[in-house]
Amino acid sequence: MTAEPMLQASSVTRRFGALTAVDALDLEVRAGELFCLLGANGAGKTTTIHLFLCFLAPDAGSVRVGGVDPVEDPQGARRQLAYIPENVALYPHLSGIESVDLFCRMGGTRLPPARLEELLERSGLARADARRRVSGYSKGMRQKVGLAIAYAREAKALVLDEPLSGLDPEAASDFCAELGRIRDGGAAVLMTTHDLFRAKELGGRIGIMRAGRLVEELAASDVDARELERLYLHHMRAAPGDAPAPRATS
Amino acid sequence: MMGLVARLELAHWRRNRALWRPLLATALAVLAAAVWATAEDAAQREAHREAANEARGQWEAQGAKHPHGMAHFGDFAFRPAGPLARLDRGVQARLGKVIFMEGHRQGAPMHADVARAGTVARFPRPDAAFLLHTLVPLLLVFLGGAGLARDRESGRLKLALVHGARAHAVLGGHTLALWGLGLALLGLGVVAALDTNVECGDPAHAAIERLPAFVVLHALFLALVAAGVVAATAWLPSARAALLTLLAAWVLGTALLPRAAAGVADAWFPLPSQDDFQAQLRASREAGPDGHDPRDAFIATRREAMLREHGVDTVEALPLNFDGIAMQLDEEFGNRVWDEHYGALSHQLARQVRAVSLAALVNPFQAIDNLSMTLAGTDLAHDLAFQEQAEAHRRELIAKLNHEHAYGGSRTGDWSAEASAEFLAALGGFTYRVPPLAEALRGRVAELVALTFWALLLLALQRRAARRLERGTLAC
Amino acid sequence: MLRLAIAFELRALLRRRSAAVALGAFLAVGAIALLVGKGRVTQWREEVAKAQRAQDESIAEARDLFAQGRTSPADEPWIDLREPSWQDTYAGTRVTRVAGPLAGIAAGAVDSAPVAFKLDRNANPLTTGGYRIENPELQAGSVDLVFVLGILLPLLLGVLGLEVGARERQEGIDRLVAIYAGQTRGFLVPRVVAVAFIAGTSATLVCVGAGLAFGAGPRALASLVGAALLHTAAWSGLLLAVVARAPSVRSAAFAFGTLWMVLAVLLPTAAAEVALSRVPPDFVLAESVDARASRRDVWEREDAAALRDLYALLPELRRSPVAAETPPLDRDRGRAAKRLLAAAQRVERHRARRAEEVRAQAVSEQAAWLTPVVALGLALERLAGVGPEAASAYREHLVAAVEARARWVVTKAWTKAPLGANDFEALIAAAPQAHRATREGWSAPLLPILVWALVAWMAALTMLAAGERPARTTPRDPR
Repeated sequence: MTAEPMLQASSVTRRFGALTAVDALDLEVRAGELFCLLGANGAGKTTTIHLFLCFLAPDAGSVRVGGVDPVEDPQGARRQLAYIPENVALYPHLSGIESVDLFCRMGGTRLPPARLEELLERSGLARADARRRVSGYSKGMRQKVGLAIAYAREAKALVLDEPLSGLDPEAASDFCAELGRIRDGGAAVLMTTHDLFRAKELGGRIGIMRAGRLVEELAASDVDARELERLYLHHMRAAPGDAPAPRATS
Repeated sequence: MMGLVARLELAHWRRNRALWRPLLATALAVLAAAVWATAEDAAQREAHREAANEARGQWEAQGAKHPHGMAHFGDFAFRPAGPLARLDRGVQARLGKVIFMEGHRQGAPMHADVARAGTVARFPRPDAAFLLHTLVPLLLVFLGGAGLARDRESGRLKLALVHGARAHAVLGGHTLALWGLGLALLGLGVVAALDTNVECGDPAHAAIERLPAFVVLHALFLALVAAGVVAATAWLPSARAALLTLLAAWVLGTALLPRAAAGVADAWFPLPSQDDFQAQLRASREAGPDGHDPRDAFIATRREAMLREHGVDTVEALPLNFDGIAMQLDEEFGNRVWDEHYGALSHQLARQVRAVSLAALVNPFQAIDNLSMTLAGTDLAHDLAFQEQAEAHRRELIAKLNHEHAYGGSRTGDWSAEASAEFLAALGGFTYRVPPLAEALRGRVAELVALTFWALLLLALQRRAARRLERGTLAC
Repeated sequence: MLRLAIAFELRALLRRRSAAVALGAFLAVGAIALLVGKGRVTQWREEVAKAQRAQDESIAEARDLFAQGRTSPADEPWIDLREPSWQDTYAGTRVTRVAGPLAGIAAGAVDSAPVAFKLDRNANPLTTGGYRIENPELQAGSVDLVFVLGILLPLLLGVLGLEVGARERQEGIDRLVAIYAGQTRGFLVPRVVAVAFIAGTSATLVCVGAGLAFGAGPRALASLVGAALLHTAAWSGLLLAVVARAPSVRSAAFAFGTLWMVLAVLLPTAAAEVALSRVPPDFVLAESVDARASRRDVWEREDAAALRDLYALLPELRRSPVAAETPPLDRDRGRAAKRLLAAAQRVERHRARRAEEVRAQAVSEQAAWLTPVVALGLALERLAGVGPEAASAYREHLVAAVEARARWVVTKAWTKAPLGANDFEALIAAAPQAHRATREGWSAPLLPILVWALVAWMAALTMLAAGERPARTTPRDPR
């Protein structure tokens, strides 16, 4: 049986003045599925993310988060989401554990300290680091706190905006492993990234965006890394209106 | 290179529309304050002329009168506006503007403007100097804090240094741009004041001799503000830290330290209460002659001496009016008492001012504030000079009236004899002479030292920051 | 959420050096303001006590003379205590001004009246200054509660709260907050309330300190705390309006700094300028040159003319034995009559001056609507019972007292009967009471502050709600 779509965009268009950032986009991410959105800078990935997060309203089409229209009920939509941005910015005067506690309490949940520590440990942050102030954290450590916050949320959908950029390979690998676990836990995961290798490695589905349109959608298992790169480059170099890239058979 | 950086900064301000509003608002505020203050200053000068004429007209209209009657009729000294009051009105509004000068007693200045202006009179009055000392530095803090920080945070500073630009030229360029903006606002205020002065038909009060000093010292102050802003932005690790530090320095310099210095000066050198001062004066005065008391022992001694001198037995037989002599005796004793008590009071006032001057060593905002009002002739020292001149005039006037009383041809006890209208008219009215600039500045040496010291210190800090930026020991 | 926000801000206060330093500085300056105020009130009360002692000594001397059956001291035989003018002199009446329970909170107010005035038939309350000899270069920088609560409190709010919202937006924390709190304002508004709570608590501490230092009763203290909290509410609303949209701490600092500069510095100084421009630049001719001329006119008036004016002023004197006599008057009566006429002129001059003061004060009342800083200053001065309004009311009290005393001297002089100890005691008993400034109208300036608070909060909440909606650039497709 196919799961209900947790994140759904139907013919969504979003313009900024004369620029069409997202153009008649159709996208679905179901529970237990991981969808990686690839594309060059300015392809419309972040705008798509922001449409799901209710930071932007679509000019045409509709967006649904767990069946809720974020424009009509932003809070209802957000209750089902967890979000990790490219740079997890946190309050510098708080420690890691205090940060997780703060965001939990903002969402109306109060977790005991032991549970907070457990979440941070699960996200890969050392116990000693969890008690240090965030102002001294590296980007990877902050991403781990962001992940712990997302765990604590126990959300049905996790949205990540280029979370891998700037992470060292080991941190990126750990991070991806955690994402896999979250997906396996039944959450829908939508992630934008430039990292074709990680997108392929994470499995699930991959979408390629160009000029606001989803020009390619494929299963990670259908292509190898080289083929994915070839496809990606083909789409990036193609002029608008070009024929889709021929897919190599595996 | 320095010029290029400055031009780039100016171009950035020109192209960034968000900056136009604060820039225009500040320029308009300086312009409006200068025009308004100058028009108001011209009106004050006109009112001063009218008041002096009115008082003089009343004096002359008395015709022939008894000299001692005229000593009690008295004369008025009206405090004139400072030579550059149109640019800095200093503490003028808080000073009594009228001194009543009569026999037997020294007058205190009365009727300060603030006493009649309601609750808001506790706030300072806006004039070009006020804005140059407060608003313009704040504008430079916001603009300057952003300038270098922008270069640093965008990586342009690194790029420039890698490509061979000298750090001191970059920092100097930013300083130059800020200083140039400050100078433009200073020039705007000065030119607006001069123009309005001419428009108000009062070109005689251009006070040209003080204007260059006013401009030079304000230019020095603006230079140190510009250097300080750039130095802080260079030394501190982030734009936020620099902005916070500079704003804290601004609040400290303009609001807290001057008040703290005033509080300390007031506590260390307390002034007597008005009643205590008057009571001490009265007590000292009672120990001396009273010209109106025929039984007074001092007067009696002098009377006996006079009788012996002229070889007569009664005062009525004297070839002069002894009452006039008695009045002058009373007057001279009163003057000595006044000199002693008022001297102590003005000494204490001077110590308070000196204490505040010393505080200016750590606060360039206070230094320029004090210097500015001294240059404008609107500080306490100029007011004390006015009071001293008024008192000197009173003494001369009363001495002449007493002399006329004594030697004008009447005899002792004759209170009906009158001095001629011509004699009374010949007693000139009070005219105020502005103390020379050098004399006025003598009391502000600490402030001059402070401004120079701060300007040099901040420039040195800037140079050191530049060296460290080039060596890589300061993050760029 | 409010508890979470308060805990969050308290933690920030402890961990952010700039916030802790600002709060410490605020409390320290508040303490200095209390010390300065305490010093002023002590000096005021000492002056009143000295005046009271001088009055008691003078009365005791006269009573002693009466007890000995004498009318003058041995060394001053010209004195005659049977005459009304000498009884007036020996009464040594001091009309004092009581320092109210909060007199120390507005030490920086312009108050040109004394605190004790020697009342006699010849006194001139219009030419008196304040009880302190003040150095004008120091006066311009008084530290009092008006400064602390009016000027520094908004700055404290700024230092504590400028990062709220602005920093989140600058660093992108706002997106996390929006997702996890459902909406940004759900956390932002309680944080500003928390900042207002911290600043308001600090202001309350300073006010309570003032109440304890000056011995204010619970009502006066509650009024002071209420004014301070209302001012906190107005400025926290303005703070929220600024941080509701500011994209960065820098732009929030710029916007709030501009707002503070305009409301706390430029508008009050502009109001001062307008008020001072309403003061005629005429060197107070009415009270200097004109007053001298009319004084001389009275003193040189022919007795017949002076009597005509006197009887117009005091018609009951026409029935006295002196009225039947033909001029010239004897010296003492002549002087008494002319002093009364001069006092009556002074009443007229004071009326004109009072009207001028009311016109000037109207500027302060209007400026209270322009900026809460002026409104707070006005409210605190009225609460303190010091400042131009209090000085003017006291001066009016004195002018009336001097005229009444001049009337008494004339009335007694016209009876032609020698006065005795009973008359002296009656004069003392009828001396004017100490003047007590009323707190009347102190709460009126709170209305503008309340309006500022409501408008600022409503505007800020509206802006926040508008900012919370997903941004649109083009109208939605109706299909």
